Amino acid sequence: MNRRQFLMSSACACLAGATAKINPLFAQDAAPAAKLYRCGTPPPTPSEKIQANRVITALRTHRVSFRGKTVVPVRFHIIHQGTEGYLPDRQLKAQIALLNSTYAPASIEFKIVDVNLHENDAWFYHEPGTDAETEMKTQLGTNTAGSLNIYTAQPGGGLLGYATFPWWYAETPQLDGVVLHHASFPEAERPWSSQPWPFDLGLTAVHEIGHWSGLYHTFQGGCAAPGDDVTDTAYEANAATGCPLRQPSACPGEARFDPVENYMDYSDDACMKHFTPLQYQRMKDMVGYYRYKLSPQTSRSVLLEQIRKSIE
Amino acid sequence: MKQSPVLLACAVLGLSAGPAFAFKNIAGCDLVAFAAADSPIAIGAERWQSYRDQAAAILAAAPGVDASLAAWRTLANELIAAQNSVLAPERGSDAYRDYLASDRCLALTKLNPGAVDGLLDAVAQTAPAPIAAALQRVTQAARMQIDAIERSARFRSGRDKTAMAAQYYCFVAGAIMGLLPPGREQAVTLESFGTTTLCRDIGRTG
Repeated sequence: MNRRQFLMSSACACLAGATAKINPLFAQDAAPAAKLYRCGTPPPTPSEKIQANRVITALRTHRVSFRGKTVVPVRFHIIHQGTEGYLPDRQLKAQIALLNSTYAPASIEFKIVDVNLHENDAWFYHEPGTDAETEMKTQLGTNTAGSLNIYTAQPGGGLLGYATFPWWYAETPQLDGVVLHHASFPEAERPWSSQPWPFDLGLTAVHEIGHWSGLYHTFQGGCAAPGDDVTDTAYEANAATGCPLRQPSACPGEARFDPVENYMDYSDDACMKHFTPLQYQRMKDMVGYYRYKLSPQTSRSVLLEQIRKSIE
Repeated sequence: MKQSPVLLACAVLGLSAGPAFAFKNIAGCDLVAFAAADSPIAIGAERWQSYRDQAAAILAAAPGVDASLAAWRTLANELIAAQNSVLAPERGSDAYRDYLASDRCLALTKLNPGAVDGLLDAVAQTAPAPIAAALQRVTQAARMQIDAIERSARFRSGRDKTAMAAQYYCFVAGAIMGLLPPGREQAVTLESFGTTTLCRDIGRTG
Protein backbone atom coordinates (compact mmCIF):
# COMPACT_ATOMS: atom_id res chain seq x y z
CA MET A 1 0.00 0.00 0.00
CA ASN A 2 1.60 3.28 -1.04
CA ARG A 3 1.10 6.55 0.77
CA ARG A 4 -1.72 7.71 -1.41
CA GLN A 5 -3.61 4.46 -0.94
CA PHE A 6 -2.99 4.70 2.79
CA LEU A 7 -4.29 8.25 2.95
CA MET A 8 -7.29 7.33 0.84
CA SER A 9 -8.16 4.35 3.00
CA SER A 10 -7.85 6.44 6.17
CA ALA A 11 -10.06 9.12 4.73
CA CYS A 12 -12.55 6.59 3.45
CA ALA A 13 -12.76 4.94 6.85
CA CYS A 14 -13.43 8.31 8.38
CA LEU A 15 -15.98 9.23 5.75
CA ALA A 16 -17.67 5.87 5.91
CA GLY A 17 -18.23 6.36 9.60
CA ALA A 18 -19.71 9.73 8.92
CA THR A 19 -21.81 8.54 6.02
CA ALA A 20 -23.48 5.88 8.06
CA LYS A 21 -24.72 8.52 10.43
CA ILE A 22 -25.97 11.12 8.01
CA ASN A 23 -29.69 11.47 8.05
CA PRO A 24 -30.98 14.95 7.37
CA LEU A 25 -34.29 14.07 8.96
CA PHE A 26 -32.62 14.20 12.34
CA ALA A 27 -30.66 17.35 11.70
CA GLN A 28 -33.27 19.54 13.30
CA ASP A 29 -33.01 17.63 16.55
CA ALA A 30 -29.29 17.86 17.05
CA ALA A 31 -28.48 18.12 20.74
CA PRO A 32 -27.21 21.55 21.72
CA ALA A 33 -23.94 20.35 23.19
CA ALA A 34 -23.20 17.74 20.55
CA LYS A 35 -19.65 17.86 19.26
CA LEU A 36 -18.97 18.47 15.65
CA TYR A 37 -17.49 16.26 12.98
CA ARG A 38 -13.82 15.66 13.80
CA CYS A 39 -12.29 14.00 10.78
CA GLY A 40 -9.76 16.79 10.42
CA THR A 41 -11.46 18.76 7.68
CA PRO A 42 -14.38 21.17 7.92
CA PRO A 43 -17.72 19.39 7.78
CA PRO A 44 -18.99 20.52 4.38
CA THR A 45 -16.10 19.06 2.47
CA PRO A 46 -16.50 15.42 3.46
CA SER A 47 -20.24 15.37 3.04
CA GLU A 48 -20.04 17.08 -0.32
CA LYS A 49 -17.33 14.72 -1.41
CA ILE A 50 -19.31 11.73 -0.23
CA GLN A 51 -22.18 12.96 -2.34
CA ALA A 52 -20.10 13.70 -5.42
CA ASN A 53 -18.19 10.45 -5.14
CA ARG A 54 -21.42 8.51 -4.77
CA VAL A 55 -22.68 10.14 -7.94
CA ILE A 56 -19.57 9.19 -9.86
CA THR A 57 -19.62 5.64 -8.50
CA ALA A 58 -23.28 5.25 -9.41
CA LEU A 59 -22.75 6.62 -12.88
CA ARG A 60 -19.91 4.16 -13.47
CA THR A 61 -21.85 1.26 -11.94
CA HIS A 62 -24.78 1.93 -14.22
CA ARG A 63 -22.44 2.66 -17.11
CA VAL A 64 -23.93 6.07 -17.63
CA SER A 65 -21.84 8.40 -19.72
CA PHE A 66 -22.94 11.76 -20.94
CA ARG A 67 -22.32 11.91 -24.65
CA GLY A 68 -23.19 14.66 -27.00
CA LYS A 69 -22.78 18.38 -26.69
CA THR A 70 -24.14 20.40 -23.80
CA VAL A 71 -24.98 23.93 -24.87
CA VAL A 72 -24.98 26.31 -21.93
CA PRO A 73 -27.04 29.48 -22.39
CA VAL A 74 -25.14 32.33 -20.74
CA ARG A 75 -26.79 35.36 -19.15
CA PHE A 76 -24.44 38.23 -18.43
CA HIS A 77 -25.40 40.65 -15.67
CA ILE A 78 -23.00 43.56 -15.96
CA ILE A 79 -22.89 45.45 -12.67
CA HIS A 80 -21.25 48.83 -13.05
CA GLN A 81 -20.63 52.08 -11.26
CA GLY A 82 -20.77 54.82 -13.84
CA THR A 83 -18.44 53.77 -16.62
CA GLU A 84 -16.42 51.58 -14.25
CA GLY A 85 -17.18 47.95 -14.88
CA TYR A 86 -18.81 48.42 -18.25
CA LEU A 87 -17.99 45.58 -20.65
CA PRO A 88 -18.55 45.94 -24.39
CA ASP A 89 -19.90 43.09 -26.51
CA ARG A 90 -16.46 42.61 -28.00
CA GLN A 91 -15.06 41.53 -24.63
CA LEU A 92 -18.02 39.30 -23.83
CA LYS A 93 -17.65 37.55 -27.17
CA ALA A 94 -13.92 37.14 -26.66
CA GLN A 95 -14.58 35.58 -23.26
CA ILE A 96 -17.11 33.16 -24.70
CA ALA A 97 -14.72 32.21 -27.50
CA LEU A 98 -12.05 31.39 -24.93
CA LEU A 99 -14.50 29.33 -22.90
CA ASN A 100 -15.59 27.42 -25.97
CA SER A 101 -12.04 26.52 -26.88
CA THR A 102 -11.11 25.43 -23.36
CA TYR A 103 -14.29 23.46 -22.68
CA ALA A 104 -14.56 21.78 -26.09
CA PRO A 105 -12.96 18.52 -24.85
CA ALA A 106 -15.80 18.26 -22.30
CA SER A 107 -18.30 18.82 -25.13
CA ILE A 108 -19.57 21.92 -23.35
CA GLU A 109 -20.39 24.96 -25.45
CA PHE A 110 -21.39 28.40 -24.23
CA LYS A 111 -23.78 30.72 -26.01
CA ILE A 112 -24.79 34.24 -24.97
CA VAL A 113 -28.55 34.57 -24.66
CA ASP A 114 -28.85 37.72 -22.60
CA VAL A 115 -26.80 40.73 -21.54
CA ASN A 116 -28.12 43.33 -19.14
CA LEU A 117 -26.62 46.31 -17.35
CA HIS A 118 -27.24 47.38 -13.76
CA GLU A 119 -25.79 50.36 -11.94
CA ASN A 120 -25.58 49.55 -8.23
CA ASP A 121 -22.72 50.49 -5.92
CA ALA A 122 -23.42 47.85 -3.27
CA TRP A 123 -23.51 45.07 -5.82
CA PHE A 124 -20.47 46.39 -7.65
CA TYR A 125 -18.23 46.14 -4.57
CA HIS A 126 -19.93 43.18 -2.89
CA GLU A 127 -18.25 40.18 -1.33
CA PRO A 128 -19.50 36.61 -1.15
CA GLY A 129 -21.64 35.79 1.84
CA THR A 130 -23.19 39.20 2.18
CA ASP A 131 -26.65 40.66 1.79
CA ALA A 132 -25.50 42.35 -1.40
CA GLU A 133 -24.65 39.04 -3.03
CA THR A 134 -28.00 37.56 -2.11
CA GLU A 135 -29.90 40.62 -3.19
CA MET A 136 -28.07 40.88 -6.51
CA LYS A 137 -28.54 37.25 -7.42
CA THR A 138 -32.11 37.04 -6.19
CA GLN A 139 -33.13 40.08 -8.22
CA LEU A 140 -31.18 39.31 -11.38
CA GLY A 141 -30.71 35.55 -11.61
CA THR A 142 -32.83 34.02 -14.34
CA ASN A 143 -33.52 30.37 -15.13
CA THR A 144 -30.58 29.19 -13.04
CA ALA A 145 -31.46 25.57 -13.75
CA GLY A 146 -31.28 25.98 -17.49
CA SER A 147 -28.57 28.57 -17.94
CA LEU A 148 -25.37 29.99 -16.53
CA ASN A 149 -25.79 33.37 -14.86
CA ILE A 150 -22.54 35.35 -14.90
CA TYR A 151 -22.37 38.47 -12.77
CA THR A 152 -19.52 40.90 -13.45
CA ALA A 153 -18.55 43.30 -10.68
CA GLN A 154 -15.57 44.44 -8.67
CA PRO A 155 -15.68 42.21 -5.61
CA GLY A 156 -13.53 43.22 -2.66
CA GLY A 157 -10.95 41.27 -0.69
CA GLY A 158 -8.65 40.56 -3.62
CA LEU A 159 -11.23 38.33 -5.25
CA LEU A 160 -11.07 37.76 -8.97
CA GLY A 161 -14.19 35.64 -8.95
CA TYR A 162 -16.19 33.00 -7.16
CA ALA A 163 -18.72 30.38 -8.10
CA THR A 164 -21.26 27.92 -6.80
CA PHE A 165 -20.75 24.18 -7.05
CA PRO A 166 -23.35 22.12 -8.91
CA TRP A 167 -24.37 20.20 -5.78
CA TRP A 168 -25.28 23.46 -4.05
CA TYR A 169 -28.00 24.10 -6.61
CA ALA A 170 -30.71 22.04 -4.92
CA GLU A 171 -30.48 24.04 -1.68
CA THR A 172 -29.96 27.52 -3.07
CA PRO A 173 -30.96 27.75 -6.71
CA GLN A 174 -31.24 31.53 -6.50
CA LEU A 175 -27.53 31.86 -5.69
CA ASP A 176 -26.34 29.65 -8.54
CA GLY A 177 -23.87 31.13 -10.98
CA VAL A 178 -20.49 32.73 -11.33
CA VAL A 179 -19.23 36.15 -10.25
CA LEU A 180 -16.28 37.61 -12.16
CA HIS A 181 -14.15 40.69 -11.70
CA HIS A 182 -14.88 42.87 -14.72
CA ALA A 183 -11.17 43.46 -15.29
CA SER A 184 -10.58 39.74 -15.74
CA PHE A 185 -12.19 39.75 -19.17
CA PRO A 186 -9.94 39.51 -22.21
CA GLU A 187 -9.27 42.20 -24.80
CA ALA A 188 -9.71 45.19 -22.53
CA GLU A 189 -8.59 48.49 -23.96
CA ARG A 190 -6.08 49.89 -21.52
CA PRO A 191 -4.33 53.23 -21.54
CA TRP A 192 -0.72 52.77 -22.64
CA SER A 193 0.40 54.04 -19.26
CA SER A 194 -1.53 51.50 -17.21
CA GLN A 195 0.22 48.81 -15.25
CA PRO A 196 0.07 45.32 -16.71
CA TRP A 197 -2.37 43.10 -14.85
CA PRO A 198 -1.68 39.37 -14.87
CA PHE A 199 -5.34 38.37 -14.68
CA ASP A 200 -6.84 39.98 -17.78
CA LEU A 201 -6.76 37.18 -20.33
CA GLY A 202 -10.10 35.66 -19.39
CA LEU A 203 -8.81 32.71 -17.37
CA THR A 204 -10.77 33.64 -14.25
CA ALA A 205 -13.96 32.68 -16.10
CA VAL A 206 -12.36 29.40 -17.17
CA HIS A 207 -11.35 28.74 -13.56
CA GLU A 208 -14.69 29.68 -12.00
CA ILE A 209 -16.77 27.77 -14.51
CA GLY A 210 -14.55 24.82 -13.60
CA HIS A 211 -15.95 25.15 -10.07
CA TRP A 212 -19.46 25.64 -11.42
CA SER A 213 -18.93 22.37 -13.29
CA GLY A 214 -17.78 20.49 -10.19
CA LEU A 215 -14.00 20.92 -9.99
CA TYR A 216 -12.01 21.81 -6.89
CA HIS A 217 -8.72 23.68 -6.80
CA THR A 218 -5.73 21.49 -7.57
CA PHE A 219 -4.40 22.42 -4.11
CA GLN A 220 -7.64 21.46 -2.35
CA GLY A 221 -6.73 19.74 0.89
CA GLY A 222 -3.01 20.29 0.32
CA CYS A 223 -1.18 16.99 0.57
CA ALA A 224 -4.05 15.20 2.26
CA ALA A 225 -6.20 12.65 0.48
CA PRO A 226 -8.40 12.84 -1.47
CA GLY A 227 -7.09 16.23 -2.63
CA ASP A 228 -9.17 17.55 -5.48
CA ASP A 229 -10.86 14.18 -6.09
CA VAL A 230 -9.21 13.94 -9.51
CA THR A 231 -6.48 11.33 -9.74
CA ASP A 232 -4.55 12.73 -12.68
CA THR A 233 -3.63 15.96 -10.90
CA ALA A 234 -0.77 15.78 -8.44
CA TYR A 235 -1.25 16.57 -4.78
CA GLU A 236 -0.20 20.18 -4.30
CA ALA A 237 0.77 21.61 -0.92
CA ASN A 238 -0.12 25.23 -1.66
CA ALA A 239 -1.61 27.41 -4.36
CA ALA A 240 0.76 28.60 -7.06
CA THR A 241 1.36 32.32 -7.52
CA GLY A 242 2.77 34.24 -10.46
CA CYS A 243 4.29 32.10 -13.17
CA PRO A 244 6.15 29.41 -11.28
CA LEU A 245 8.50 26.95 -12.90
CA ARG A 246 7.30 23.39 -12.94
CA GLN A 247 8.81 21.53 -10.07
CA PRO A 248 8.18 18.32 -8.19
CA SER A 249 5.33 18.40 -5.72
CA ALA A 250 6.33 19.17 -2.15
CA CYS A 251 3.91 16.53 -0.91
CA PRO A 252 5.53 13.43 0.58
CA GLY A 253 5.04 10.40 -1.61
CA GLU A 254 3.91 12.47 -4.60
CA ALA A 255 6.30 11.87 -7.49
CA ARG A 256 4.56 14.12 -9.99
CA PHE A 257 5.03 17.81 -10.64
CA ASP A 258 2.87 20.52 -9.08
CA PRO A 259 0.00 21.27 -11.49
CA VAL A 260 0.93 24.94 -11.76
CA GLU A 261 -0.29 25.20 -15.36
CA ASN A 262 -3.69 23.79 -14.54
CA TYR A 263 -6.68 26.10 -14.91
CA MET A 264 -7.73 25.21 -11.36
CA ASP A 265 -4.53 26.51 -9.75
CA TYR A 266 -3.82 30.19 -8.91
CA SER A 267 -1.07 30.97 -11.45
CA ASP A 268 -1.24 34.11 -13.56
CA ASP A 269 -3.53 33.94 -16.59
CA ALA A 270 -0.64 33.68 -19.04
CA CYS A 271 0.62 30.57 -17.29
CA MET A 272 -2.64 28.63 -17.10
CA LYS A 273 -2.64 26.10 -19.89
CA HIS A 274 -4.94 23.13 -19.45
CA PHE A 275 -7.40 20.86 -17.70
CA THR A 276 -6.52 17.18 -17.35
CA PRO A 277 -8.52 14.39 -19.03
CA LEU A 278 -10.06 13.34 -15.72
CA GLN A 279 -11.01 16.92 -14.91
CA TYR A 280 -12.89 17.02 -18.22
CA GLN A 281 -14.51 13.69 -17.34
CA ARG A 282 -15.55 14.92 -13.90
CA MET A 283 -17.06 18.07 -15.40
CA LYS A 284 -19.06 16.02 -17.89
CA ASP A 285 -20.34 13.80 -15.09
CA MET A 286 -21.14 16.63 -12.69
CA VAL A 287 -22.82 18.84 -15.28
CA GLY A 288 -24.67 15.86 -16.76
CA TYR A 289 -25.93 14.74 -13.37
CA TYR A 290 -26.51 17.93 -11.40
CA ARG A 291 -27.17 20.36 -14.22
CA TYR A 292 -29.24 17.94 -16.26
CA LYS A 293 -31.70 20.61 -17.32
CA LEU A 294 -28.99 22.07 -19.53
CA SER A 295 -29.13 19.05 -21.79
CA PRO A 296 -31.99 16.74 -20.91
CA GLN A 297 -31.32 13.27 -22.20
CA THR A 298 -34.76 11.80 -22.09
CA SER A 299 -33.58 8.31 -22.94
CA ARG A 300 -31.63 8.27 -19.68
CA SER A 301 -33.94 10.29 -17.53
CA VAL A 302 -35.56 7.29 -15.87
CA LEU A 303 -32.22 5.74 -15.02
CA LEU A 304 -30.84 9.04 -13.73
CA GLU A 305 -33.91 9.52 -11.59
CA GLN A 306 -33.38 6.08 -10.08
CA ILE A 307 -29.76 6.93 -9.34
CA ARG A 308 -30.83 10.23 -7.84
CA LYS A 309 -33.26 8.52 -5.51
CA SER A 310 -30.73 5.89 -4.48
CA ILE A 311 -28.15 8.55 -3.64
CA GLU A 312 -30.23 11.24 -2.06
CA MET B 1 -30.37 12.18 23.80
CA LYS B 2 -26.87 12.56 22.49
CA GLN B 3 -26.83 13.09 18.76
CA SER B 4 -24.18 12.23 16.25
CA PRO B 5 -21.67 15.00 15.61
CA VAL B 6 -22.39 14.59 11.95
CA LEU B 7 -26.03 15.43 12.42
CA LEU B 8 -25.21 18.78 13.90
CA ALA B 9 -22.74 19.39 11.11
CA CYS B 10 -25.51 18.66 8.65
CA ALA B 11 -27.77 21.14 10.35
CA VAL B 12 -25.14 23.83 10.10
CA LEU B 13 -24.36 22.83 6.54
CA GLY B 14 -27.97 23.45 5.70
CA LEU B 15 -27.63 26.94 7.10
CA SER B 16 -24.49 27.76 5.22
CA ALA B 17 -25.98 26.69 1.94
CA GLY B 18 -28.46 29.55 1.99
CA PRO B 19 -27.87 33.27 1.83
CA ALA B 20 -24.52 33.51 3.47
CA PHE B 21 -23.29 35.69 6.25
CA ALA B 22 -20.15 37.72 6.64
CA PHE B 23 -18.53 36.65 9.89
CA LYS B 24 -15.44 38.76 9.58
CA ASN B 25 -13.59 40.62 12.30
CA ILE B 26 -9.83 40.76 12.23
CA ALA B 27 -9.86 42.61 15.57
CA GLY B 28 -11.10 39.42 17.20
CA CYS B 29 -7.47 38.33 17.21
CA ASP B 30 -6.52 41.46 19.13
CA LEU B 31 -8.94 40.45 21.86
CA VAL B 32 -7.05 37.22 22.29
CA ALA B 33 -3.71 38.99 22.32
CA PHE B 34 -4.82 41.63 24.84
CA ALA B 35 -6.07 38.99 27.26
CA ALA B 36 -2.53 37.79 27.89
CA ALA B 37 -0.89 38.81 31.15
CA ASP B 38 2.08 40.32 29.34
CA SER B 39 0.02 42.12 26.72
CA PRO B 40 1.16 45.62 25.75
CA ILE B 41 -2.46 46.68 26.00
CA ALA B 42 -4.42 45.63 29.03
CA ILE B 43 -8.14 45.24 28.94
CA GLY B 44 -9.34 45.72 32.47
CA ALA B 45 -11.33 43.09 34.30
CA GLU B 46 -14.40 45.26 34.20
CA ARG B 47 -14.32 45.54 30.40
CA TRP B 48 -13.69 41.83 30.04
CA GLN B 49 -16.68 41.12 32.18
CA SER B 50 -18.73 43.54 30.15
CA TYR B 51 -17.76 41.66 26.97
CA ARG B 52 -18.54 38.33 28.58
CA ASP B 53 -21.95 39.57 29.64
CA GLN B 54 -22.70 41.00 26.22
CA ALA B 55 -21.61 37.85 24.42
CA ALA B 56 -23.62 35.64 26.75
CA ALA B 57 -26.70 37.79 26.33
CA ILE B 58 -26.39 37.77 22.55
CA LEU B 59 -25.94 34.01 22.43
CA ALA B 60 -28.73 33.41 24.91
CA ALA B 61 -31.07 35.04 22.44
CA ALA B 62 -29.80 32.90 19.56
CA PRO B 63 -32.29 31.47 17.13
CA GLY B 64 -32.95 27.75 16.97
CA VAL B 65 -31.33 25.48 14.43
CA ASP B 66 -34.21 26.02 12.04
CA ALA B 67 -34.03 29.80 12.25
CA SER B 68 -33.52 31.92 9.19
CA LEU B 69 -30.06 32.77 8.01
CA ALA B 70 -30.78 36.42 8.48
CA ALA B 71 -31.29 35.75 12.18
CA TRP B 72 -27.90 34.04 12.49
CA ARG B 73 -26.23 36.83 10.59
CA THR B 74 -27.75 39.35 12.95
CA LEU B 75 -26.37 37.40 15.87
CA ALA B 76 -22.89 37.32 14.34
CA ASN B 77 -23.01 41.03 13.67
CA GLU B 78 -23.99 41.66 17.28
CA LEU B 79 -21.05 39.63 18.50
CA ILE B 80 -18.73 41.59 16.23
CA ALA B 81 -20.12 44.84 17.59
CA ALA B 82 -19.47 43.60 21.12
CA GLN B 83 -15.91 42.61 20.22
CA ASN B 84 -15.25 46.01 18.75
CA SER B 85 -16.79 47.83 21.70
CA VAL B 86 -14.27 46.19 24.02
CA LEU B 87 -11.46 47.50 21.88
CA ALA B 88 -12.98 50.89 21.17
CA PRO B 89 -11.21 52.76 24.01
CA GLU B 90 -7.83 51.62 22.64
CA ARG B 91 -8.48 52.41 19.00
CA GLY B 92 -6.32 55.19 17.68
CA SER B 93 -3.98 55.09 20.65
CA ASP B 94 -0.25 55.04 20.15
CA ALA B 95 -0.06 51.74 21.98
CA TYR B 96 -2.54 50.16 19.56
CA ARG B 97 -0.71 51.56 16.54
CA ASP B 98 2.59 50.27 17.89
CA TYR B 99 1.04 46.90 18.51
CA LEU B 100 -0.32 46.66 14.97
CA ALA B 101 3.10 47.40 13.53
CA SER B 102 4.93 45.06 15.85
CA ASP B 103 5.83 41.38 15.74
CA ARG B 104 3.31 40.82 18.52
CA CYS B 105 0.41 41.50 16.18
CA LEU B 106 -0.66 38.14 14.81
CA ALA B 107 -3.57 36.85 12.78
CA LEU B 108 -4.89 33.34 12.34
CA THR B 109 -4.23 31.70 8.99
CA LYS B 110 -5.68 28.33 9.86
CA LEU B 111 -7.81 26.92 12.62
CA ASN B 112 -6.89 23.67 14.27
CA PRO B 113 -10.23 21.84 14.40
CA GLY B 114 -9.23 19.74 17.41
CA ALA B 115 -8.00 22.78 19.32
CA VAL B 116 -11.13 24.76 18.58
CA ASP B 117 -13.29 21.82 19.65
CA GLY B 118 -11.29 21.64 22.87
CA LEU B 119 -11.92 25.30 23.60
CA LEU B 120 -15.60 24.91 22.80
CA ASP B 121 -15.68 21.98 25.19
CA ALA B 122 -14.17 24.22 27.85
CA VAL B 123 -16.94 26.74 27.24
CA ALA B 124 -19.54 24.00 27.48
CA GLN B 125 -18.27 23.04 30.92
CA THR B 126 -19.29 26.33 32.46
CA ALA B 127 -21.67 28.11 30.12
CA PRO B 128 -25.36 27.24 30.02
CA ALA B 129 -25.99 24.60 27.38
CA PRO B 130 -28.03 26.81 25.01
CA ILE B 131 -25.33 29.48 25.05
CA ALA B 132 -22.55 26.96 24.44
CA ALA B 133 -24.56 25.42 21.62
CA ALA B 134 -25.20 28.80 20.02
CA LEU B 135 -21.51 29.65 20.21
CA GLN B 136 -20.67 26.33 18.61
CA ARG B 137 -23.09 26.92 15.79
CA VAL B 138 -22.11 30.48 15.02
CA THR B 139 -18.40 29.66 14.99
CA GLN B 140 -19.01 26.57 12.91
CA ALA B 141 -21.02 28.61 10.43
CA ALA B 142 -18.15 31.11 10.13
CA ARG B 143 -15.69 28.31 9.45
CA MET B 144 -17.95 26.80 6.83
CA GLN B 145 -18.51 30.15 5.17
CA ILE B 146 -14.81 30.81 4.62
CA ASP B 147 -14.28 27.19 3.69
CA ALA B 148 -16.87 27.58 0.94
CA ILE B 149 -15.22 30.77 -0.30
CA GLU B 150 -11.76 29.25 -0.28
CA ARG B 151 -12.95 26.26 -2.27
CA SER B 152 -14.82 28.19 -4.93
CA ALA B 153 -12.97 31.47 -5.41
CA ARG B 154 -9.96 32.71 -7.27
CA PHE B 155 -7.91 35.32 -5.46
CA ARG B 156 -5.22 37.57 -6.88
CA SER B 157 -2.76 35.91 -4.57
CA GLY B 158 -2.42 33.46 -1.75
CA ARG B 159 -1.89 36.47 0.52
CA ASP B 160 -5.30 37.88 -0.35
CA LYS B 161 -6.86 34.51 0.38
CA THR B 162 -5.05 34.28 3.70
CA ALA B 163 -6.06 37.82 4.62
CA MET B 164 -9.72 37.10 4.01
CA ALA B 165 -9.60 33.81 5.91
CA ALA B 166 -7.91 35.54 8.85
CA GLN B 167 -10.88 37.84 9.27
CA TYR B 168 -13.21 34.86 9.69
CA TYR B 169 -10.87 32.93 11.97
CA CYS B 170 -10.26 35.97 14.16
CA PHE B 171 -14.00 36.42 14.57
CA VAL B 172 -14.19 32.81 15.75
CA ALA B 173 -11.33 33.28 18.21
CA GLY B 174 -12.79 36.50 19.61
CA ALA B 175 -16.20 34.91 20.02
CA ILE B 176 -14.85 31.90 21.90
CA MET B 177 -12.72 34.14 24.14
CA GLY B 178 -15.86 35.80 25.41
CA LEU B 179 -17.28 32.57 26.79
CA LEU B 180 -14.23 30.82 28.19
CA PRO B 181 -14.36 30.08 31.92
CA PRO B 182 -13.25 33.12 33.94
CA GLY B 183 -9.47 33.33 34.18
CA ARG B 184 -8.93 30.81 31.40
CA GLU B 185 -8.54 33.54 28.78
CA GLN B 186 -5.16 34.55 30.17
CA ALA B 187 -3.78 31.13 29.35
CA VAL B 188 -5.08 31.15 25.80
CA THR B 189 -3.05 32.53 22.92
CA LEU B 190 -3.80 32.74 19.23
CA GLU B 191 -1.68 29.63 18.77
CA SER B 192 -4.24 27.89 20.96
CA PHE B 193 -6.64 28.24 18.03
CA GLY B 194 -4.38 27.39 15.12
CA THR B 195 -1.64 28.67 12.86
CA THR B 196 -0.71 32.35 12.88
CA THR B 197 1.11 34.89 10.78
CA LEU B 198 2.33 38.41 11.39
CA CYS B 199 -0.32 41.05 10.79
CA ARG B 200 1.92 42.90 8.37
CA ASP B 201 2.34 39.75 6.29
CA ILE B 202 -1.33 39.93 5.36
CA GLY B 203 -1.24 43.67 4.87
CA ARG B 204 -2.59 44.70 8.28
CA THR B 205 -0.48 47.52 9.59
CA GLY B 206 -2.99 49.99 10.91
